[in-house]
Amino acid sequence: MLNAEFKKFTLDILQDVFYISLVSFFIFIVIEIIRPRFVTAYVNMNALLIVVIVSGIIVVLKNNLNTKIDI
Amino acid sequence: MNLNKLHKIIRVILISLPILTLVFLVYKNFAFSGKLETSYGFDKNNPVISILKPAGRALKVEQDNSGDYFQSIIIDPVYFDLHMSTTFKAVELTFVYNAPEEQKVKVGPQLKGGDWIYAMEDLECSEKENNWCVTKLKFDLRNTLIQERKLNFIISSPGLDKSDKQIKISEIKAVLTK
Repeated sequence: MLNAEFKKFTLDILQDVFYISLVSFFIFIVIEIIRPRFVTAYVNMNALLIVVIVSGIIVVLKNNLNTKIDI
Repeated sequence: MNLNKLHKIIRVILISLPILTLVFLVYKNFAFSGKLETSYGFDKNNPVISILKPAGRALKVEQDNSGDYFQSIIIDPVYFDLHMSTTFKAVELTFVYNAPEEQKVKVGPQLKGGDWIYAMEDLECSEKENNWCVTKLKFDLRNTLIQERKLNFIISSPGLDKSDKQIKISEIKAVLTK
């Protein structure tokens, strides 16, 4: 029971990480287009993109798994 | 602690991270303190000071026995850019370098009014620090040519290619003031 609750907690956190990093990534991209080097001079956008992709893959896979179990 | 409560705390932290990053970016780019200080030691990319170019006249970044990174100039002139995120009135550049004694070196920013007009000043060794010359130069930026938020600087040393010697630049520090 506790284990399942903790798994759900981890998945919720990962989901938050995915959404927040995705929104941040797009906001930073828009700023970068308007004002070049504003963001990339100080922030590694590749690292942020990796966070978006990795968290996104985990969230999608886990959600798919949960959906199949529910069925 | 309740997991729901912990989740809320983590969510607040996660949301505040990009907001803080944005605040940091605005502070850095607009230099609200009126001053922007940066130092380029050639070991990693700098957000304000570019590498010396073009390749061929300036060699690739190397590291000496004492661990100092440097870039060598073999043919004059070479250029570097200062990325100007906002408007600045003046810059103080500190060069940590090694040049042959008989070789004159001049540095200066590109001026408005023409493609190849530079306000050049002599780079003369004023003090020595661990076998490197340290020289400070001040430039007024009010009449300089800034294109795409970049200010181009020239490092000129006529006859360097014929002398078969190199100028080694180990560090460039810039203090930009509004």
